[in-house]
Amino acid sequence: MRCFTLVLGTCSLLAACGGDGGPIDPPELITTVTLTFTPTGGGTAVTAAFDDPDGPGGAAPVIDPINLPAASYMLGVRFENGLETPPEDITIEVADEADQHQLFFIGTAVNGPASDRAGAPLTHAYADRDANDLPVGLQNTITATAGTGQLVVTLRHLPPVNGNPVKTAELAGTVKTSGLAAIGGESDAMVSFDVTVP
Amino acid sequence: MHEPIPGAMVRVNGRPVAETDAAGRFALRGQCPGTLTVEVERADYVPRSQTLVLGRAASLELELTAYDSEVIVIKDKAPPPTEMRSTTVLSGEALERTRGRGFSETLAEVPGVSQLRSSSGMAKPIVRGQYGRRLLILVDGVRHRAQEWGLDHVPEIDPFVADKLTVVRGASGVRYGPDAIGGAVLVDPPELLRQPGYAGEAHLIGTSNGRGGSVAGRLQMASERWPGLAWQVEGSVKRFAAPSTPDYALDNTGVGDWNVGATAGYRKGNGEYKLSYTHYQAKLGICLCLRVESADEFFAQLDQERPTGSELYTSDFEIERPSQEVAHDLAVARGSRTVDKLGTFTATYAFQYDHRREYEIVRAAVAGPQFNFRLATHEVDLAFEHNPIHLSDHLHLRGSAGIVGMGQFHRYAGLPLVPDHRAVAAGVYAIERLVGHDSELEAGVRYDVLARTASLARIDFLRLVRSEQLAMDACGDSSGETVECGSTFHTLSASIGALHRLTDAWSIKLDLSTASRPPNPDEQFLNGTAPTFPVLGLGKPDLGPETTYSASLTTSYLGDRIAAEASAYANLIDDYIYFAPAIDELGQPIFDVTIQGAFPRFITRPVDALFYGVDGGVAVTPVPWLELGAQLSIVRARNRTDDAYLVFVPADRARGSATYKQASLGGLANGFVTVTGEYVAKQRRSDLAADFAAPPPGYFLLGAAIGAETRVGGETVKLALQGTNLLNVRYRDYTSLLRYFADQPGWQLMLRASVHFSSGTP
Repeated sequence: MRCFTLVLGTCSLLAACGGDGGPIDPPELITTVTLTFTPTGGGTAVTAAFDDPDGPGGAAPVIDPINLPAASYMLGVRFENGLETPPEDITIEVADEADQHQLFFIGTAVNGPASDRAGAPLTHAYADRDANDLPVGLQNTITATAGTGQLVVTLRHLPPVNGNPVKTAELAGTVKTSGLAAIGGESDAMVSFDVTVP
Repeated sequence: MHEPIPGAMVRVNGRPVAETDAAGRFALRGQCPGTLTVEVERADYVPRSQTLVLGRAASLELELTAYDSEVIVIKDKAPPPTEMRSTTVLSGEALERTRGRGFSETLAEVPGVSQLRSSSGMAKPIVRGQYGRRLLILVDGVRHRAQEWGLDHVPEIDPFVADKLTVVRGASGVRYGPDAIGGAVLVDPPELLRQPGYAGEAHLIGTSNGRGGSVAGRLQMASERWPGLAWQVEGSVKRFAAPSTPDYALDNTGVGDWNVGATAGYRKGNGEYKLSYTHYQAKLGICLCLRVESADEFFAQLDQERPTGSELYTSDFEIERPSQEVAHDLAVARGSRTVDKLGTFTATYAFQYDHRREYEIVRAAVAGPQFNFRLATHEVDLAFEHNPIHLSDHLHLRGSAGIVGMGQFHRYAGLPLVPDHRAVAAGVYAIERLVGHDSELEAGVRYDVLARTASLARIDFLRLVRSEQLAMDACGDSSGETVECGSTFHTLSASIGALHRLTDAWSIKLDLSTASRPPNPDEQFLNGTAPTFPVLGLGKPDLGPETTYSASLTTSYLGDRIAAEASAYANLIDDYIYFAPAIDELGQPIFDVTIQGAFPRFITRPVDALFYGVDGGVAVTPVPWLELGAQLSIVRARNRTDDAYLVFVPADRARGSATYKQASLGGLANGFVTVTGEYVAKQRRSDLAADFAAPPPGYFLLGAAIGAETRVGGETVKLALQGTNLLNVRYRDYTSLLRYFADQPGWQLMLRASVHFSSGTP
């Protein structure tokens, strides 16, 4: 038994040494997606957030409904990691790598480049461009008319494959006809809001 | 210098019984246990006789020297007892032919073994439907300790280190550890040289699909100057590009790994001492085709013929994110001492350090891993094997007993998933075997205790509470920065086995076993989206051990022309810890909304499971130049609690082979041509509620190999060319993570050159 005690003594020592296995980069978690609708004709901005402060699992996320008076808006989208202190703004990283990212706006409430629903309450158009003159979707124009439905905002990370760009001009069109599964890359965020335009 | 002495007359109790063959060997069968005198005589050597007390079996090596010299007995050791379970050993030529393949691919040669393929082109073995933590892998007698839980976590073992691979099918809790519910895979390194001199081997392998290759070598030496001192060094390097399916490359599934090891041993008198150290390092790419997406998107892509964007996929060496990097260190110190009139004491200390880093696709601002697991394990094992006790002329008792101890430390950093933990365990066991004339009876019992404490960061603890997995007061004081959740498990394993020899060649074996496996920390505390599966996984902190009751009946025949083994088994597992979808009161699967979309919620929960099946193989040599082989494996698995099937259970499979042998042709010797066919049926017994996609159709794979030996510079060089999936079949495998996303690799050729060299015949 003396041997066993001795061995356990050694292991605590080694485990203590093994504790410093190098720094871990902050995981790239997104906990909050905030939509800000700023009326182009002036007035108060409307914001709605999808907030999951403790990440996947744990508490269920809090999702604000979007109540939007019928008008024209600039829509800005912001991504944050609230588990960092202070919260980390992921939007900056997305903008820095705009040529590898694109947002898609789909759902029953949207008609636009990626969603073919004539008569839907929200009409979407991209209002920003990356270095290759392709849409990004951090800034958009929205025209709201009366109706209800769902808005699904997807942030797609589209890193090149073997040096070939995956982000191409026809992505939104492909999503419109065949859905998100038909394009490359992976979704870093995909959040769904209930929309009401009285 | 030791040379075999052929043509020597062997007498037993004065009666001539055999003549030694070209290798200087002879075998005696059908001798009654008891005392007998073996005499060996050849005209030019001093006759030698040796008195032997014979148990069930014994081996004897006599050294004869020319007249006027001394005669020394150098070895008199009984072989290890026959395993009561169904076992298969891969060694020598059979193992040689698998060189260049992965660890699990090597084992898949054996009846009852299939592979759980990951998304990196590597795999973990499945024995009779059990894998991961229910299937122990012992390397040099030390249990491999790593992150066994992930479907995508491949054992960190280089098959080159093995001189012998043994697959034990069926619960083996008493001998190998309480969680050997499915069986055990023993990876045994070669023995160190006993005679002064050197020996070694080298292998050079190239493959077509994946355009890669590997180099491996081993050198063994025994000192002339310091008798009893021997050592070996070994190493291997492997590098493969991503292989291709018949239609597209599995981009980013390249492999780069290397392994180095060194062993030193010393034997003197009744003592043997050994120190060894092995380091394994691997970088594995994960197929770009694997995408962990929200449920909607995941289901949508299941209907696609080929992965989205696969027109851009190439077969290159570059390993990018997503990828895994693993390092595994194993250090073993072992000493054994034989005490006259008592038996042999063996003490082993082993240390293992397993470091696994997993890298996800991230934005440029992040450079490090997203999952970082470090596991340190210390083990001690004190074993005593007593000398055979002779109860009568025909009845003998053999046995061993031991105590084991373990200390383990786990540290995790990264995205929320599993907690840090530490554990201390101890066990005590005894196995006794009654050896009669035609029958043997074995009984064993083992008790283990495991105390484990998980250290949950407060934020993770609160997430478990909010997920309603854990009560606020379940772990006592929960006010600190870390919350310590402790659990203690007591487990009992027992087995009883019997063997009966109906004739010299034909025997039957029966084994009844029970074993219990404590839950792993991930099964208790998992909380997060799994890196390889589109699910939100939640553990169950108050899980108890799962207990198996198994029975297996095996019959084997070992004749001159036919060798066959068939085995039937049933394995009832109480509280089988099952990771499956959570179902609400209405019987509908529960989905959790996360920032990445809706994911099905998977939970670990105990169900009553039943595994049963048959497996077996036969090898026939109708004429010396032809060898025919056939194998069959059938497993059935039921979730009795929900009256459903269990997922990831291998489909029925059969394999047939025909080998033509040519002793010599020109300058070549021992030539062979083999054709192999393997049929894997569609898994018709699946549970769509616990899986994401229907099982893929069955498939047939054709393989072939041709090889021979030649002499180069005095050494024998073995050359072989092997082809797999020669019909370039497009298929998906039910027990592969890739099956949701892409096909398996297409046809492949592998060229192998091996050389074995030594200073002389020991």
